[in-house]
Amino acid sequence: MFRYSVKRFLGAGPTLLILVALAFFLMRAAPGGPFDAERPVSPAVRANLERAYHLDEPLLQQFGRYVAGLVRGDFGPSFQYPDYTVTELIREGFPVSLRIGAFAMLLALLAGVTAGILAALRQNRAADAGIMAAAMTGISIPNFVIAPLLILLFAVHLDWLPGGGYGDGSLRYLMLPVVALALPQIAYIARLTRGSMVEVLRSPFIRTARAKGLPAHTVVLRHALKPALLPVVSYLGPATAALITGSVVIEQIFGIPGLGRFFVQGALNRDYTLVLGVVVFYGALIVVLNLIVDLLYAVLDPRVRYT
Amino acid sequence: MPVIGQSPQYSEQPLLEVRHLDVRFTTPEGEVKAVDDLEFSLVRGETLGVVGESGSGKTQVAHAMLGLLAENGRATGSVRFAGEEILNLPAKRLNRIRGAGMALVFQDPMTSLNPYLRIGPQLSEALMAHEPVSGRQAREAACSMLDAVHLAHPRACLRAYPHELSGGMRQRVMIAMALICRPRVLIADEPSTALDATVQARILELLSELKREFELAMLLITHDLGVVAGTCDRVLIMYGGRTMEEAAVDDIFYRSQHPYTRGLLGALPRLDAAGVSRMAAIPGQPPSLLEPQPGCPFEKRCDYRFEPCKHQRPPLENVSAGHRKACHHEKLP
Amino acid sequence: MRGVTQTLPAAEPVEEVIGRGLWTDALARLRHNRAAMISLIVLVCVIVLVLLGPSASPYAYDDTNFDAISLPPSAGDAHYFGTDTLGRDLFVRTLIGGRLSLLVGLVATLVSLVIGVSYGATAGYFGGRVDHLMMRIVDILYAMPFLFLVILLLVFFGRNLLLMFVAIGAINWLDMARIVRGQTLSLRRREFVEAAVVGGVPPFTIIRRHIVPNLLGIVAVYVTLTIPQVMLVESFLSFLGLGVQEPMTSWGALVNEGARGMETTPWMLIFPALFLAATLFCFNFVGDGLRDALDPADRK
Repeated sequence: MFRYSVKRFLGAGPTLLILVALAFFLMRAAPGGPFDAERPVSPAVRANLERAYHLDEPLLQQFGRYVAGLVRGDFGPSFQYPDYTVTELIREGFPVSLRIGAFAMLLALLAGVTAGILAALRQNRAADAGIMAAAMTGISIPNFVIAPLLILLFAVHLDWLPGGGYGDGSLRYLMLPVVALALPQIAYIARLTRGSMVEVLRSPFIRTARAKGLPAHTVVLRHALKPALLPVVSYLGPATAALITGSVVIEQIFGIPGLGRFFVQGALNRDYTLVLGVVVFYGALIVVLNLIVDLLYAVLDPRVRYT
Repeated sequence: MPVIGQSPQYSEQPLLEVRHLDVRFTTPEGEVKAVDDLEFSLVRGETLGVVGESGSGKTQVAHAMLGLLAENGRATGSVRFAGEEILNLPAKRLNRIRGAGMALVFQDPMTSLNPYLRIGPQLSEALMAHEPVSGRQAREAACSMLDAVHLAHPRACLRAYPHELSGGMRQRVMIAMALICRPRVLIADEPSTALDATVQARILELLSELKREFELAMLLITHDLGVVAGTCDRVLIMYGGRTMEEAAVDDIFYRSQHPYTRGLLGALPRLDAAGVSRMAAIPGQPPSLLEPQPGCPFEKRCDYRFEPCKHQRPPLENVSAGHRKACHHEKLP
Repeated sequence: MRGVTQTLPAAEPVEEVIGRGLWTDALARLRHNRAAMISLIVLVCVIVLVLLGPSASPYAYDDTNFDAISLPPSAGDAHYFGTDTLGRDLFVRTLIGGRLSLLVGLVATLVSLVIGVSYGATAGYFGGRVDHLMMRIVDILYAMPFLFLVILLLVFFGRNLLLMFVAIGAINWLDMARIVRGQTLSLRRREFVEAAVVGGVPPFTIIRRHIVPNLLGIVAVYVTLTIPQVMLVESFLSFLGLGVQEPMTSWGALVNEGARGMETTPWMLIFPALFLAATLFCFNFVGDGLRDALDPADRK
């Protein structure tokens, strides 16, 4: 177990470095500098700006400076918001995004796993078909389509919930964005859970458990649930990535001041360092989460630990 | 080997009595009749061998009795356990018998144990499902059960995961798990097939020993007549879901009256013919159960076939007391 | 080399017979899957409509008309889906947007197909250390937030359709590579491949002639499932305003415009959203059906 952890941990390092390098050199390879988009500036001002942002140094040195900064938690200055550093913007936006994302993940897991298990236990019956059709719909409708429809129904027509904004961050404001963000993931997790549960229920060791005379709920909860949930555990990494991606549009639609919204604004304003910083930050988050998921998987599956 | 001659089985009420058992599966290709009008009984202390090639329906018999058929399967007929009808009972009522009255040892000990749970809980939960014992008592019982199946270091075994044990050890665990509630009937479905030859012999020895110790009636399901010889009192030969011949073990080996049984006997490796091991496999394939023939299922592969075999199903008839066969021939040469 | 030319013709007919049998069986099974067949019909209808519909309308997708702003749907003036805030006909815009969405789906899937199949087949065919290294790279790439990298690309290099096609395709090949590799590993051990190897046929000829044709089934399934994923990415980017440029449009961009005025002009949201969702839905159903049909072991 210890060796396995160390191995996984060492594996995450290169991934992160490759990500940072890729993003950084892509930015530098892009035609035109960060100050091209705005109205032209005099060469002197330009040189000053470039010196201030260390753009006059050799590329590798810039990269080294950037990585060194990252290690200290410094993502550099924002080009578009001169009064802010990227670190400050992340510190401001991320807690908001995290709150919505965490609720959405919780909802997706609870609802998705429950629906998947119910469908598997009613395999090939009406309830199964219904749940799976709903799940397919959930997967097929992008959350930027679901979100406006939710607003139209619950905010405009029924007037039950606010149609946008973050307010005080209370549940009333979070409800619609969280649901819109979670729905495709609920659908995906439900399908995943059903598939693996059906497979597990067919396996010989479940027959053994039934042959022992165990009650049905013990068979499902004690013998089938854990192996059936392993694929869901593996999916937690990709799910996080999907939620982060989704949060970008959801925050845009609901006007929530999260990191995703900053990211889109940065992308549209060609705020290079902000975009780069957010990509690196989220990339690191995903890599670390994948690592945690791998370790969690090893804890759950006794056969992995010893290999 | 037990003495059959003055066996008490016909005077005593059978522990397990199966009559007119049919098992059907609905598949996309059509309905498959895996077991067709099967009939047998088992008395206390007796071992019945059910022998057939793979696909002969023998495993489905075991699954049908305990309500363990796959989703698309259903069983009809009658299975009486200690006088009580148990076929197609709702799971709740069947659970009183599963494990406690009748227990199963499965074919493949690699996949039949839950890989995600330690051995200990898998054993003790079987006991706790049937008897009001504490966790500690169940653990103690599990430990002594592992001792009874001659596993060295039973305490270490309780803490192990299945993949940490060898195939033979896992099968011993499976047997301990089946016996922990002291069932009256043990169904062993190919208990040694997935194991190495030397381990096979030891598992069979163990089963014979435990059978005496626990006074079990046993249903030994196997494809290997050789396994039957040393362990069973009576043998039932199955083919294409039907009974071909049923007799005391000696009658099967020395006075068989069915061409299929003779074919199986001929397929046994022989070491007596001047050290040369001769194996004569029965030519041909087992019948497709999708389109059942009106006649004898073995007709296509039978050396003795004649006209009636093709059109008429041979009834199961007495040859002598306790010896039945399904064949149109009065007497085989 | 003479020996080789003699082995190959003998080996090929066998595998072709197997292949044909598999496909006929699979298609027969697919025909019995009602959801998949209905989806297939809907998809064909959508494609035909998207290709022919615009020419049946008197309007062009970029015709602005300030006398006909934000009209609700009506058959009278041939604005079947209404008009947008610039008076452009939404029926034509939805269908033209559909062309672009479907085109991105196809082209980007093709890109991911080529990369994924060649990468996976190579890794699976050579096996051993090559395979280990190549799959390790895939593992590392799996952890990458690719969508963000595509956004970076679009931000840094400007919004360029071709770039978008390639970038989306390049992020979706990982699944394909993994599946193809697994299949190749097992194919590699089959007799007809062994025979070709023993006969001295060069590796890439074997991959092209023996491995790839036998991968068609599984690849077909993943193509059908990749198309909707890719279309989703495109619509996501276009929704954010990072995809297609005005006056060109796509379903994602139309949904974005529609969502802004959904309280007063709901038709601007509903028609493109319906087309997008229905198309994705149908692709997913057909892909699922195809997978069930090709993998009988997985059936109920």
